[in-house]
Amino acid sequence: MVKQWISLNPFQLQVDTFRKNPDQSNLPSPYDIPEALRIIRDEENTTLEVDFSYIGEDEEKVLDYDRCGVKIEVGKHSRRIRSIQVESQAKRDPGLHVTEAELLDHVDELMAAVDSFIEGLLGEADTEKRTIDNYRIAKEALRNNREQIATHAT
Amino acid sequence: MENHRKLTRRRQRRRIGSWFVATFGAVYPIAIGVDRIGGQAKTYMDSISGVFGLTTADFAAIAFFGFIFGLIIRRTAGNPTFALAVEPVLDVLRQHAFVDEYAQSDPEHHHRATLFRHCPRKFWIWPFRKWYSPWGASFRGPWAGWLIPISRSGHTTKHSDTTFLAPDDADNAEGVAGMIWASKQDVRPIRLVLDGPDDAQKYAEETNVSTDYVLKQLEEEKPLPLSLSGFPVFRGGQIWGVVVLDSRRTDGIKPPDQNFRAIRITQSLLDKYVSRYT
Repeated sequence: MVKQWISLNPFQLQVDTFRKNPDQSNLPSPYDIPEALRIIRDEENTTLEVDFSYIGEDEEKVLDYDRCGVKIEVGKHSRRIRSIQVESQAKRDPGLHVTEAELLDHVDELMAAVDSFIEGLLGEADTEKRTIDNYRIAKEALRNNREQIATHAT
Repeated sequence: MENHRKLTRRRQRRRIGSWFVATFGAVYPIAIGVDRIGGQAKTYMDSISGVFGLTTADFAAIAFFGFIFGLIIRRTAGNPTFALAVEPVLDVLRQHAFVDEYAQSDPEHHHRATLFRHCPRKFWIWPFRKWYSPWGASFRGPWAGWLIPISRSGHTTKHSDTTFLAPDDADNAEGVAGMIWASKQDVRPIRLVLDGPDDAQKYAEETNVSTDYVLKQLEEEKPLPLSLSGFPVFRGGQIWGVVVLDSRRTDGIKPPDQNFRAIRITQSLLDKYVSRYT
């Protein structure tokens, strides 16, 4: 079941990032800031997916994170987060920690997944600052629309 | 830098190239296959060969090289449609990105938006970076990676050949254009002071160029921008070039919050044009 796109405020997302790093000479470009997101739920309620929409021509997506029933797809070249997918509890790893599994039903878990994704990337020497900023912006977009997403997700 | 005279010349070259490709592309298969086709085609070809004193193999060779020549001409002429489409975008960006009062009252070339394209190779660099190595220190070659201006807002200062180094080792990228290239992010407006040679070192540090370059410009009484900003241009998710905004006034460029929408629309349009025409 595909829901309508929820318009984001890309300018506000840029400002929020800018406020946290006032001394930096670089700012995330509007190209890297999502302009809308949508929530997709399959009919059997086994998967919840949040898609992000950006300016620019479509590019190939690659799966860059697949842990604990959470999948994150990013643009092949731009490394912009294109979608975050969460599987229902029934399909998830049975060995998963209970509290972590409970959280997966909520938006907080999506944000936690992005955090975990960022932490993994910070450990890699060749990760660009832009890539990390892009993921932080996507997380900020989730946080700003937390209630709307949670309504659709539960 | 593109201007209308150059564009007209490029269009003519492209047309000539297309003519070579179409003509020799059609002649080549006939020349190599005429013996097999036989009949009337062979009779015609023999009579033409008789007139020019050439064999069919000679015709095939001429057609092949004519076709390749046409392809090279077409390729080097580029696509003028892109330059024609981009210029109005930069003109509109100029109107919105600079402080309204200055953009209207000052001459056009005091506040400019310039599109640079990243080229992996550039053989002719002027002025030379070093007398013993035109492409810069560490004996960089023409293949170091360069940002070359391809389009600019307004109708003046179109003949700039200013080229910035944008190498793989991004720490050595030159200018604000190089800073954008290296970070793939927007550069916030930099406000500069340049009252004389004493300010040259600080100016050079802030703009990511060499002090010698700034001093030389001052010596030759060439005006330098007092505020600079810019953003990257992408194609299919990969950085393709950069747009640099420069102003002769310290406060000439609007702050990022006021320019967000203008930059977003420009990036969106350029992404489409770049994907389609280059």
